[in-house]
Amino acid sequence: MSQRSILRPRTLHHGTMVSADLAAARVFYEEFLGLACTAIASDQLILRLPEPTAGGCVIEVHHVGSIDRPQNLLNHWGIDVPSRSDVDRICAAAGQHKERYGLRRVMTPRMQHGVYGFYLQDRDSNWWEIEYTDPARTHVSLIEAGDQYPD
Amino acid sequence: MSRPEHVPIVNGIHLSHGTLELRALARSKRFYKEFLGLTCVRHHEQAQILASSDQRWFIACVQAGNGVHPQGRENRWFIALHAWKDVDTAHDAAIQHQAEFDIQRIDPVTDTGHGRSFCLQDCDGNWWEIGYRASDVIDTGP
Repeated sequence: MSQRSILRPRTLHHGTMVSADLAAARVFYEEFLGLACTAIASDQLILRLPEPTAGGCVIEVHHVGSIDRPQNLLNHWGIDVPSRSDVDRICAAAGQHKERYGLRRVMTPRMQHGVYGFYLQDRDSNWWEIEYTDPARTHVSLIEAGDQYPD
Repeated sequence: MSRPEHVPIVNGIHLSHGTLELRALARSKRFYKEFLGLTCVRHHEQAQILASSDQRWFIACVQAGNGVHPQGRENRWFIALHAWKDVDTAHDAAIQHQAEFDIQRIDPVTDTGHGRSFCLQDCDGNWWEIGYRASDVIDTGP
C-alpha cells in the first residue's frame, strides 16, 4: 500500500451488492455457496466464508425493491475451491439445482486467466466464479511478483 | 428438487476476490495507488489486481475499453480509514483532486448509525465508499 497516497486506508473492507428477495437469496448463499450469513438489519446481510476458513472478502447485501442495474459477468465474486474435480462437481450440482435456487445461468467450466472454473448468475443477476487456482499462482503470489506488463 | 441435507454444495476455501471493469489500466492504476492508497499490480495484459496491505482479499480489474458498464452506488467497494476525522480530510482531498483523477461524482459526507462515510464514482463509473466504522460484525465475525 502506498504510503505516499492521498488516502492512507486501514483496509479494503468489503464490497456490496443487492438482492430483490433476501430470504430466497439467503437460502442460495447458505445451502449452495456455503457462506455464513449474518443479518445486521431487516434489509441487510453480511456474507463471508464460515470458520475455520473465514478470511477473505466480506460482502454486504442490501435488499432492494427491484434490480435496476443487472450485473455483468466481469462484475463477479470469486470463490476458491480445493480441486478441479470440485469445480466439475459444483457445476453439475448447479445445473441439477438450477430451479431450486433460481439460477439464471450456469456456464461450462474451462481454463482461463490461469485458473479452472465456471461462472453462474444468481436470481438477482449477481455473478459468482467457482474456481480452482494453482497453488503456485495465487493472488498473493501475483501481487508479490509485481507488474508483469508495463503501463 | 429439494436438498434436505445441510452440507453446502460449494466447499469454498477462500472468498478471494471481486471484480470490476475499467476503461484503461494505466489511468485507473494511478487513481488506485496515488489516491486510494491500494497496491495495484498488472499481472495480465488486460487486467490488474488491487489489494490493501493485509492482502485479505483482492479486486481483479479487467480492461473493457468503452464497453464498461457503469455501476450504481448499490454495487460499491468500501475503503476503511483509521479514524472518524479522516473521513472529512479524505472528502476534502477528493474535491481538491477531482479533476486530476477524473472523479465523476463526490457525494456529501454522511453519518450512519455506526460510522461516517462518503461515496465517490471514479473515472470508470465504479463507486467507492470511503469511511470509518466502529468495529462491527465485518471486523469481528458473526
